[in-house]
Amino acid sequence: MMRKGMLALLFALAAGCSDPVPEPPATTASRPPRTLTLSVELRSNGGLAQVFAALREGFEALALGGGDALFFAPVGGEEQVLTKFDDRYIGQTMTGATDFEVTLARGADRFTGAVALPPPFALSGPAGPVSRAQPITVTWDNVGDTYDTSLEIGGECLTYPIWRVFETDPGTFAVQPADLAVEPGLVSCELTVEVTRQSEQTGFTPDFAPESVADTAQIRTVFIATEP
Amino acid sequence: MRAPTAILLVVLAGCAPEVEPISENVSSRDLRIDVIASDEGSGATAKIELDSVFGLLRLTGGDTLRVTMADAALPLREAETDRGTVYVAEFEALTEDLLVDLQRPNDRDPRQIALVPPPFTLTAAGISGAEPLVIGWDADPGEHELSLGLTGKCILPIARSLAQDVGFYSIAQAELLHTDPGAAARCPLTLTLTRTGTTQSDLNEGLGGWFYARTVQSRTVEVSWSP
Repeated sequence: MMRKGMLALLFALAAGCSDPVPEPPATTASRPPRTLTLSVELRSNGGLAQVFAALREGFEALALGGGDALFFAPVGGEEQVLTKFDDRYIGQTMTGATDFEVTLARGADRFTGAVALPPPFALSGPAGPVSRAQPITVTWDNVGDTYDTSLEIGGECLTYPIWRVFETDPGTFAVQPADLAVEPGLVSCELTVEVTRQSEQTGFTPDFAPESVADTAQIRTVFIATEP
Repeated sequence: MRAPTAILLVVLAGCAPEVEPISENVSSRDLRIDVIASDEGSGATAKIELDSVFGLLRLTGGDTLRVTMADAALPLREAETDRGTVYVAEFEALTEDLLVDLQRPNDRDPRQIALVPPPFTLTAAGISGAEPLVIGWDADPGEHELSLGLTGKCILPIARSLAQDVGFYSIAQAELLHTDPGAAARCPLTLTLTRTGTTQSDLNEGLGGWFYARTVQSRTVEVSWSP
């Protein structure tokens, strides 16, 4: 009797000392879409559009569950399913379209958020190599001040990049020689100039929670070869 | 309890008498000389501190401090601060490197040079229409840091480190971010350009002590901003 009692006690102790079973991640299963916050990040370089989508309840990111699936498509275009990556769902498609839909499919029901990119634009810079001793001018299509415009100058030859945020869209920017922190000893230096036009849309979908938000951006990049 | 033991206990309790912060109590090997010199375009100052574990030192015991610029001695006066004694020179302009020479009858004589960035004249045309702010100064590709600051009541301040001292720079009006939607469309701006030189070296050729100097040339201009 004593031995059985001791064995029972040992088993009980062993069970209590094992690693706790992790809770399964929260999922979208059976949660009404109107309680779900849809967060979309959409960016395009004019030929390739990439989307990052997440569904949250409060601050908690949810995994798709119960057969739910997320899709992404340019309006009128071919739909593709989004793939899980960390706590978001991602996808990309070759298109120059500016209007897209992100859709939660649940059985025969579909819940859609319409997302629009800012207007596309072309970015141009001088044909290189150009001298770094003078300002280097880049230009792009200015469509007014509805969108936030910013610029970044980078390159492996720079000790640090340069960021500029514009209050109004100037449509042009002159890279100043004084700003270029070229690594010592380098002669040739290829600059990467990236202009971003972005927009934030809130309450963009009646199918999901009013806190749903879409951050969208058109991004263009030029490479400029430079010399001293 | 015997008296020496009692005294020892008092000393161990942290009641030992303080060491007076005078230079004759400190070896050159245990000394740190700090030099802060600046010129804003209308007169220059240089402040020298002799720092030690006892605090800032007052020169005593025949120790003398001499600071020269372009072979001319700068008149130093003693001043008291909340940290201790400092030595200050006020003079017309900071134009050359400073030679700092501590002469000591009973110890090594540290002698160091504080490198000084060259002075310059700053110009900026007023902003009007859609034109950018155009800035000019005397270029110098020397070993100093260069920074720019732009302030105004209607804009968020701009503070930039400039990687190259090339003598010209421009800021587009689109880069001037207003403080809030209700801010005035334009306002007078204040532009400052600063060259900062730093010198750090062993004070006594590897035998201890430290020399640190920060020398600053800055110029400020007011910039008008009209429609």
